[in-house]
Amino acid sequence: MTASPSIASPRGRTLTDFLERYVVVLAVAALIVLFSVARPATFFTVGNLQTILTTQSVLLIIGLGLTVVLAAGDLDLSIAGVVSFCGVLFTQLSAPERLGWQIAAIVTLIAGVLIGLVNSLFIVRVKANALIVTLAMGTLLDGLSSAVSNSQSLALPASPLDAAISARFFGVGLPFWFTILLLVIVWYVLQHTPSGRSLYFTGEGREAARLVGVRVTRVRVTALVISALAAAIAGIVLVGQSGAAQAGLGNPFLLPAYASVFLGAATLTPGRFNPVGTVVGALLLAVGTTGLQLLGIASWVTNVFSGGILIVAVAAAALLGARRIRA
Amino acid sequence: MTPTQPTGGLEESSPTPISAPSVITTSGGVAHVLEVTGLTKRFGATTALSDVSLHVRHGEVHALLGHNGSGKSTLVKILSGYHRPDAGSISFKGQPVQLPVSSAHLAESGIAFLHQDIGLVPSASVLENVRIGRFETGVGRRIKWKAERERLREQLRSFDLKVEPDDPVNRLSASQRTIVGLLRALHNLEGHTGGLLVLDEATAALPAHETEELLAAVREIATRGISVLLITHHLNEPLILADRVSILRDGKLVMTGDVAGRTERDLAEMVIGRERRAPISRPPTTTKHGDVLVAQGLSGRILRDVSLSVGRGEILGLTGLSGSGHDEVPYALYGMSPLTAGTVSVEGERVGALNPPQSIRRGLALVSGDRAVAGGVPAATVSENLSAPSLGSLTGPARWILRAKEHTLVGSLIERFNIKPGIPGVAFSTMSGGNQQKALIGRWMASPPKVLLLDEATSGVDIGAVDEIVDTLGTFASGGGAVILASTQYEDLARLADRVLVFRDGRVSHQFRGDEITAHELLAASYGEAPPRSTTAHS
Repeated sequence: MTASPSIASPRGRTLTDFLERYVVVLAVAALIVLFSVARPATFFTVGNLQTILTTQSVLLIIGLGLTVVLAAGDLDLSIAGVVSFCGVLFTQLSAPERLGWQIAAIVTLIAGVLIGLVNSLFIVRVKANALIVTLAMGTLLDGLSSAVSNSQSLALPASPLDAAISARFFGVGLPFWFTILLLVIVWYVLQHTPSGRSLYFTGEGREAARLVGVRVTRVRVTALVISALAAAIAGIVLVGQSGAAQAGLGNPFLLPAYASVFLGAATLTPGRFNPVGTVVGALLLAVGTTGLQLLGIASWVTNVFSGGILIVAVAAAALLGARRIRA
Repeated sequence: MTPTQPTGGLEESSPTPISAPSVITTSGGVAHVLEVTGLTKRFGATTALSDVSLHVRHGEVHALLGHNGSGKSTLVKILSGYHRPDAGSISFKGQPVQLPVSSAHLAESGIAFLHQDIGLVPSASVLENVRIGRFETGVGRRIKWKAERERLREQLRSFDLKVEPDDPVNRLSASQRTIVGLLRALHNLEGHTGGLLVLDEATAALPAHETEELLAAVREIATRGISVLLITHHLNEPLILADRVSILRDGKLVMTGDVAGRTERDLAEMVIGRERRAPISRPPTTTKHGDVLVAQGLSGRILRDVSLSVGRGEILGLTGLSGSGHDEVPYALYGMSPLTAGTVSVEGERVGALNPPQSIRRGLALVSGDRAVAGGVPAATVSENLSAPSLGSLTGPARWILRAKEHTLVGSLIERFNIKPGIPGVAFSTMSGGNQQKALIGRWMASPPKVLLLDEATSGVDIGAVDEIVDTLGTFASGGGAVILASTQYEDLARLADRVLVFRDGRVSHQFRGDEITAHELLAASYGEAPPRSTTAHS
């Protein structure tokens, strides 16, 4: 039996395969060229690049956590609520007369882990619908964040952590470099270790994964905890960057996070959620929205762009996934 | 689509040649409701049906028997419009049916199906399930619930079914659900004289004692002038119920005739045919060094206090009808199907918690019979699926998977087990069933287990792959491995197994050794007939 040329090359050397893999990367490049030509003075500048990278840290941290959950075949809509709640919690606790920033940070991260555990208790053990459980958990946390903040905007007390979050390295905020470190870790674990294989197997064929000895329950719980923990970290970074916290501060990140991850699934290893793809997806969103703003287009375009891109991304992911399976 | 296509307009929607009995064709003076002539269907190189002709007489119960892979299900799928035949024709009530059969045409002309999975909505009521799509409505399309309920209650009573129209289906027993499915099919035939009801393995999933209620219901239907085509692998059902029986084997019709005067054994002979293949030559396993795996008092979903053991170099076959529990054993031993009681020891050491990681550590390996759910991961690559059980031994520092090592391993497995097309980087689902199965067995051989557990390892794969799988298992056993093979492929068991346990209602009912193992004996024992040379098993 000889294979047809279109599937003969495992590394995807045909033009369609190449396009399939790099279409999002090419889109980013095309947008950069487009906006640079249109706004050479403001868009194509080092300053703008530094701004884009710095401001994307929070989205990237959330997105990397979300990548892990989606790869495990579950989903988590509570992440925006976790960001809000943990951001507000950290701000309230870190005043020197309360717990101080060190303990506040630890408590906040533990809160993130606990939220992930509660999510997984209902989703994995009770087998409740993940969509509803995490949507409800997000709303619940959103409410709690109002309670903790007394529905007011809180100023973040100055601390070494706050200073570090605002610090710049090569002109780019420290959180961005932290995000890069996180990316390397997630990329390493997902693409290069047996744990990563177990994660993908769990997401793509749960019973088949169990058969070869994958502890499916443990993998799913871990993934849900990772996503909540990532959102908790993102909450701390977000309040550190803005210097203030109020209820609902995480809400604007929910949709872009999903858009980034699904755009990412159409990149590099088409049909699979992967961390590098997520970063490329987030970059596409950032370049697109920043560029549109610099063009002076009304700000509602941002949401139209993000929403539209998400639909395109899930459609692409569905088509690619179907191709991968049926081929 | 009817050949006499009405040119639109509700008024002429049924050009009514149907009501007149004159349209029923007669050949040799006998009325036929369904005539299947010269049906042939090929899938690639395999011929699933070869020139099959089948005539169902008006008002008869006609049984169609055949073993797995005989072409039975292909025939049903052609009748229900799922497959287009390569050759042949079908006519219903004397009208030629356009092929492939359209489902709209089935409904219009009066053919109804009841498949094994029945297809009821569990949370909806009996009434809703039976009447959906044909509710009697009044003003404002309001359903006349009262009239509907009364009518159905009457019918339920006539079928001896002690359920209420408003009972949700998920509260009914398996046989009650099947009869509700039957009723729904019957309602689909409403308004047709001389309809045909096709029962496609409808009894396969029923426990033996519940089958009788269903058979009584079928008999009731036949008395209403509806012809029944009963497709089954239970040999006793045609004897109880049918007027005539047809038997398919290897895609060919081997007989059609009256049921009267036949025994289960007669039918079994024809279902199985002559044994075609000689047992594979394998050094006899007289040099057994004790048991590798011992299981005692296993009880689970169906299993009731089953004890068994398998020795080094031994191939132990497990068989029985579906629902007998034989196919639960591999999953239970491996920890994928829950046990309520029982102990398992491997090489004398008791296995504590039964779960897959633990089982793998103890040297067990499982190849699932349900390839769609627990076979390979379809979207993952061939390479990832092949290396999955061996990943632990392929890592370097910091658990980094060494790609070169993985590549070598995968390449050698592809070559050794002749997996085609052996492209490591494509999705697993792109391979044929036979090649997937070779991969799923072969991947465990990278570091051979002590006990290989398999369920239906040779079902649903092409003949060539079957031979390769049989060879693989034989070689594995010759090398000292133990094999437990649950299967309903009696011929493959006869070729392979040193010993076979036959299950019935969750218990071991017969044991066969060596030369005693023939497809006929296994078949007869599965159906509960006491064969002359059997040694009754322990437990």
